[in-house]
Amino acid sequence: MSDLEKFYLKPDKNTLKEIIVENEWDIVVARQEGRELARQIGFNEVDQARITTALSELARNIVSYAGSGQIKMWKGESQGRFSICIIAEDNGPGIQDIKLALQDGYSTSKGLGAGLPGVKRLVDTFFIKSKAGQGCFVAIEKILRRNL
Amino acid sequence: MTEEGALGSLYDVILRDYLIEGSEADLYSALNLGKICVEEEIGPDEIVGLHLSSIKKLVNESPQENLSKLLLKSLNLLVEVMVAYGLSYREYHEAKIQHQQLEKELQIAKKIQTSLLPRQLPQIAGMDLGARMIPAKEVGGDYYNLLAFEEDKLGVWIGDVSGKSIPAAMLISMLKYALQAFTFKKEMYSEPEKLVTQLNNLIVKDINPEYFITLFYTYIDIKRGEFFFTAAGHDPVIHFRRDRMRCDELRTDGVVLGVLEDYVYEQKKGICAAGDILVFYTDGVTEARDTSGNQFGLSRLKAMVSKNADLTAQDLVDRLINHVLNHSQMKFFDDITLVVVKMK
Repeated sequence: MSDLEKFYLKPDKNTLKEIIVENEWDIVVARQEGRELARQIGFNEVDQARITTALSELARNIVSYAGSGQIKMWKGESQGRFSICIIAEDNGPGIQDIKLALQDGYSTSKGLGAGLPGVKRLVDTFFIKSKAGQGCFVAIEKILRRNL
Repeated sequence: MTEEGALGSLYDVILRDYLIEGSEADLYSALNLGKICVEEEIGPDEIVGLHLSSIKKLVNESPQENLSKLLLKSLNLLVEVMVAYGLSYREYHEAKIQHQQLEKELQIAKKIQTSLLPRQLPQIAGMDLGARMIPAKEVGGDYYNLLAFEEDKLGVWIGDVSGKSIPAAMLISMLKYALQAFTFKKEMYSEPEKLVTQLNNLIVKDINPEYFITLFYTYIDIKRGEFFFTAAGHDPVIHFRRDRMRCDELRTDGVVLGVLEDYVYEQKKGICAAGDILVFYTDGVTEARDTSGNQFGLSRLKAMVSKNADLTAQDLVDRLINHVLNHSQMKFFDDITLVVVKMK
C-alpha cells in the first residue's frame, strides 16, 4: 500500500474523528481532538504540539479560503510503526497554483503564518490535490518514532 | 504588539488562563503568539524570558500552589509557542534565501546585459554619435549597438527584450551575435528589411513563446544623405529636420521578433542633411511616469529634442536622460536607453 492509498481507504473506525470546520472555535476543537488522539497513539508533548500546529494551519486554511470543510483523523500504521493520519477537505475555491502555494513566503505575505509549506515540514507524508474552483484535499501523516 | 510590555502582558494572560483552565483555546493562542514573534522580530531568548517572568509572577501571587505541577504544565504552553515560532522562522528564512538568490540572479543578468553594450562608439566622419543605457533594477532588457561599415556608413540598432533576469540576458547575447554575424555581408547590413526578416526567422525557431524582442534597425549612408530603416514592433525613431526645425516620426509596420515565422518586414527610406538628428529610444523613456502616473511621452521627447538640437550627440543623450529621470523622480522600473546620431 502506497503512502497515498491509505488516505482513500476506509480509515480505522475505532479511532476516527470527524470535525466540521467553519470557524475559529472549530479550529480549537480540531486541535483538542488531534492532541488527544496523538497522545493516545503515544506521541510526546513536542510532537503533540507539532501535530496540533499542523492541524491548526489546515483548519485555518479551510476557514479563511473555503468558509467550511471537514477534517478527519485516525490512528494509522506505516512501515511497522503507528502514525496519525489527517485529511482536510473542502469545496472552496481551490488552489490555482499548488507549486506557488507550497513556496515559502507565499502565505506570509498575507499575514497568515506558516501555511502549507510549514505543515509539510511538520509531518512525514504530505499530499495535496486541488484545482481552481474544485476545492482542496490535503492528507498528512506523522509517524511515531518508535517501533510497534 | 511591538509596544514594550504588550506581549508580556498577553503572555501573562494566556499562561494564567491555561494554568487555571488548561484549555486547548489557550494553546491555540500560544500558537498564534509564536507565529507573530518572527514578524515582530522577537527572538527565542526573549520568548523564554517572557515565559520565565510570567511564571515568576504567578508563583509570587500564590506561593502555596503545587509548584512542580504548575511548572511542568506551563512548559506545554512554551512548547506550543516555540513550535509555532520555529515553523514561522523556517518559512521566513527560506523565503529570505529565495529572495536573495533572485536578487543575485538579477544582478548577474544586469551585468551580462551591460557587458553586451558597445564599449566605444565608432568614429565616423560626418557623424556625431551618442548613446547611454540606464539599467533598471527590476526588469528591462534594453539593447543597442552601433557598427561602422566601409568607414563612412553606420548601422544602428536598438531593441528591447521582454522578460527579465538571466533568460532575457541570454536572449540579448544571442541577438547581439546573430546581428553581428548578419552584418558581414553588405546586402544584409545595407538592407534593413532583409536583415530583420532573416533575424526573425532565425530567432522564431528557438525563442520561448513567453519572450519577444522589439528592434529598430537603421542603415545610414551619410555621403548620399539617405538612410533605410525597418522596425519590428519598436517605438518610432525621431528624425529632427534642421531645414524645417521639427521632428518627424519614423515608423514601419512590423510585428515583434520571434512571434511569426516567414513574416516579411517593411523597409522605408529617409533623407537626411547636415544638422539633422536621429533619436533612437526604448519605451523606458516614453513610458517613464511621474508621481501622478503621467507618462513622459513621445511629444515631450520630441519637444526636448527640438529645443536641444544644438547640443553634441552625447550631450543631447544625457540631457534627455536627465529630463526623464527628473520626470520619474528617479523611480524607474524599465531600462532607459537613448542613442543619438547627429549629421554634421
